[in-house]
Amino acid sequence: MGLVDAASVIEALEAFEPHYLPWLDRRDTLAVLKDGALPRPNSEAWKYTDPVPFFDPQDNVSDRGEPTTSPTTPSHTVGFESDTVRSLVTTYVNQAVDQRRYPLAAISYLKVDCGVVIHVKPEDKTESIELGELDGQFQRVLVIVEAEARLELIETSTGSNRIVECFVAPGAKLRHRRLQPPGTGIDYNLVAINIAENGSYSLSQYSTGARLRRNDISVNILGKGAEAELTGAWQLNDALHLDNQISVNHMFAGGTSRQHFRGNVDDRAKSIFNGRIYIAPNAQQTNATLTNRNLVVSAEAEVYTKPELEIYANDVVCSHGATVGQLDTDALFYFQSRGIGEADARAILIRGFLNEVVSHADGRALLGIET
Amino acid sequence: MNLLEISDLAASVANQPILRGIDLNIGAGEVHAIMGPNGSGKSTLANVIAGREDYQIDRGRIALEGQEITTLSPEERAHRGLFLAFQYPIEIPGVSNMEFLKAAVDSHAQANGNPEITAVDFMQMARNAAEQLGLNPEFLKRGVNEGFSGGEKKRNEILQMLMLKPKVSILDETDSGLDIDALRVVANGISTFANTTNAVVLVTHYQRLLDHIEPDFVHVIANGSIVRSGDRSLALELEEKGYSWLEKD
Amino acid sequence: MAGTDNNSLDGFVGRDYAAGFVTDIEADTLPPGLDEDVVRFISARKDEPEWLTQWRLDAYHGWLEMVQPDWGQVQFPAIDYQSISYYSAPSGDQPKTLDDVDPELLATYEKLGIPLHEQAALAGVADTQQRPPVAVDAVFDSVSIGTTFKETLREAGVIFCSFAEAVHDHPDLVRKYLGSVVPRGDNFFAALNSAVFSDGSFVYVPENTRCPMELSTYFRINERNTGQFERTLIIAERGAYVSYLEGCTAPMRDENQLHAAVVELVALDDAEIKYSTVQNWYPGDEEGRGGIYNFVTKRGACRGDRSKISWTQVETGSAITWKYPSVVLRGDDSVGEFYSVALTNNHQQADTGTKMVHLGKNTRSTIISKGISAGLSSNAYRGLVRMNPGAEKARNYTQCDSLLIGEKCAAHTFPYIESRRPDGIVEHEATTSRVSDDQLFLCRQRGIDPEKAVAMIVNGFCKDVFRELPMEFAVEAGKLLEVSLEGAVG
Repeated sequence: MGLVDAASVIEALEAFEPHYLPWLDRRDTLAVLKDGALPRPNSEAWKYTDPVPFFDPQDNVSDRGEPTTSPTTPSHTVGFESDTVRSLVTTYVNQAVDQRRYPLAAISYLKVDCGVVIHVKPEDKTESIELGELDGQFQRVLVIVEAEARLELIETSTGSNRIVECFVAPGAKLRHRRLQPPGTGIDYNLVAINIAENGSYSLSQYSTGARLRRNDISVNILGKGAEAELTGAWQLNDALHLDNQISVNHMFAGGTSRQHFRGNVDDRAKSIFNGRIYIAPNAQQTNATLTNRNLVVSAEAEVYTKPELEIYANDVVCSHGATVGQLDTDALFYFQSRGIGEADARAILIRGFLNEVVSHADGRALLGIET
Repeated sequence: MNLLEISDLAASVANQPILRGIDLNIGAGEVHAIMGPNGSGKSTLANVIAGREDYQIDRGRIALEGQEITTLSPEERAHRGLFLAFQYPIEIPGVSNMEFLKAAVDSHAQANGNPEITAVDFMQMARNAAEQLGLNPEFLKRGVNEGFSGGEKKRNEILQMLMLKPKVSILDETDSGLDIDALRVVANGISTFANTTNAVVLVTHYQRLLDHIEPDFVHVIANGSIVRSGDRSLALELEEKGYSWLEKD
Repeated sequence: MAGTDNNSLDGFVGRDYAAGFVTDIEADTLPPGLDEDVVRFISARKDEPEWLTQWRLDAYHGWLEMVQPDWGQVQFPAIDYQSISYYSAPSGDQPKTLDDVDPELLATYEKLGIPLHEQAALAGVADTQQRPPVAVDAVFDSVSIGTTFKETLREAGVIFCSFAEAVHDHPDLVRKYLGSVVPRGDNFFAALNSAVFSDGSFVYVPENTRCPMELSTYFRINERNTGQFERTLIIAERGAYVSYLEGCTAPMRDENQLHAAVVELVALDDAEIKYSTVQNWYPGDEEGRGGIYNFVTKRGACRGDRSKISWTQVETGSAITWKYPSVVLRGDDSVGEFYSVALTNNHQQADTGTKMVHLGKNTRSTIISKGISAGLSSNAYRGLVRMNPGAEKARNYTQCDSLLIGEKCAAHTFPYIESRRPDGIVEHEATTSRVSDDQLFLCRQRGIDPEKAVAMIVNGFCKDVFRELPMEFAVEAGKLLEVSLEGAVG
């Protein structure tokens, strides 16, 4: 893996003059980056994906100049510049993001050139909001679901750099669907979620790859009865690259998290998955599970997976499992013996494998597994 | 002298009072039945007597053969002859029944200054007890309650009782989860074990175990107190009328 | 099963680390510090051929360029490599036979339950008559002080001797295989070991020979401020079989001591090596003072087709354990196994696991890891399973369980799975559990005291691994767990 030239990254960032949201306090962020948050050689977080293209200082200095306002129309969605949301931004931004752990999110914050705030109150009766492509390179989305409110957020993005920060207040419910069509460039995404007491967050993420695509997901369980359910499926073809790095952090007792991710990797594609469950001291009575299953269907495909447990409390129920395997030859033969050709049989088996974690038609369409 | 004497016993769980003053005397050679509706405090009483740590004794005393035991650890109470058959026997993966039984039997011998039983005698004793309860000797090699059916777990509790020969056995809902045949085998095991020097306390919700083992005394607990005591006819009355008529008192 | 024999267990319920005594013996100990001269001194002292001296120096120069790795889930203050003494040996001439060994040394091993008399077997076993004998190589600080049953083994064609002897008596074998599994520059600690290794064991089992008895090396650190850097090399020729046991202890001392060994195993076609370790280096006291830093590189090469290497380890000692006994599965149809129990208590830290590197066709590996954390300790499993492009139809199964005792300990699992085969199968499962209050209460109601109950539950949790240990070690391992768990329940 290449070496990130920290000095030039910092230098470029220091020279950068923000035009968008100049009033944002950027000082702490720069300090964090200067204090060793940038990837070091042999960085564990960048073991299988080359960090250098992501941290290219040249790429990062592009400045879109004019601030972007709301690209979509629902009444709850407004640009960051609106006076009505300025206080929301100041209150919430970076509260769910550990900038030391996610230096790309820190850089994105410094250079943010496009923003969206979605703020839902119980009386809003919002069904769902669709968030498509945004007109900016460093995109920031803040989602605030107030106590007892609910929201379904459907997000489609091939954007080059998007940070989505979600706050699920006590008793609130956020259902989040993300569709990631194939990209051609270097994509970075972070979804960071704070879930309060009895709050519930669910993610259904359907992905393909990009030249290099990195999805960071960080979930903080911050209250009793808080729940997170993360599911995801990916289909990788050609030479696409997808690196999913997930950390579910149980910071408080009595939370629950379930994760189930499945991927099918074909051609010369490369799939990386790192799923961490962290249980803080005193986060007793936690229930946390993680499953990652991978299919490799080509001789040149590569799969790297690492489920991790980091546990500092004893009264917990945690488990994880990971598998890498291929299509069941007995099942293939069974199909063939019933007259179904090998290609069709393979397609059916792959569809069946992924379908376990795909529950939306648009997800099936994206992954090419419609029936 | 009574084997077990309980006087004015009040206890709570997580600061929630459950027992509100229990008086109970159990003599040698007696079989007692403690009955009552769900949540009345029957299981709490059994656990408090055995010394479970998350149960708080608020007042009163428990004496085994005239000696106060409320400050003793669970294992010390066990060594003095107190046995609790659990309502929900817990699994201990990887530890074989045999190993567990041997450790228990040896700890009793050691605490009471008795010579340790030889491995051969021990095996014989365990096989006999298993046979008496209709359990295959292979059963002894399996992990403690690991993957046991509900009936096997309950029989295993009785097996342990037969091995440890306690003075006072408190059997907490031992009849639950047993089919008719298993119930007969278990009841038979208990009846054979009961003699003039020991005592058996059957904690149960239903009459059906009492069809097989005749109690000398029947006590009814409601809301943490004994609201009625009598002979076995009381159990029959309960079977007929249910518990609601008592709770109104 | 170990936990059932009360009499023998009670003997071990002492409060202290039983092997913590110091042997009062004259020793030739190098002053602390490391430079080229120290490397040359060690080599000269052992009367080594020039190629080996040069090999050491190359390793030393490579080491100077390296930095100590920091990726483990362990924390410790920087080690001052100039404050360690790199050579210590009992004074006087090297004993020729066991009869020449200083009685004080023999007494030491006797006290540890390691008999250096050929009529005795490993201690801790009641019916010694029924047990097959075990050949022992005893390594005291930097040198081997004696090897038993050499004659019996020689008749079978098996070579079992100290590493230093092997360098003199079997130079071709040593030269051919030394560093062939763990290269000099493999990692920081392996490089250091390659420069300053003092002694260790050497085993060679010829073609189609089943080693007639268990082989065992017993490592003992005695001297203060010394590091122990032994080197073990085991070669199993085509169709050979050997089972090898390793045990370790050290005195209780307030300062930390470094143990950086290298173990290399080579299995040719149809050969099998079973390597078992019961590691009980001094773990430090309840406050976390002192104890051994156990930074060891162990690796086996399944070079031959259908060869098999199996690592079984029971780790209860050391302040810090940082090691990954690994298997490189090069031969087709070769098999790698790793069975591990790692127990940490008080302030101990462990980051241990394995690497299974699948290169050959139809290679298979199994990993069973049982981690037990108690007290304030931290216990991490770290493992790598790699299916390389040539590893047609390779398979791995990993089961990784953690048991937590008490509220302040930590348990971690970091399994790396890297697959580049469409027909390979890798399965990893991990669970965590604790010793529950309900389990404890059941045991106590049956009269079993809490410490014994915990030991019994932990023994049950480890059963899948103990099954893999030779009988003598299984008994010892069960006892060790019980001793190491003392004070774990409040």
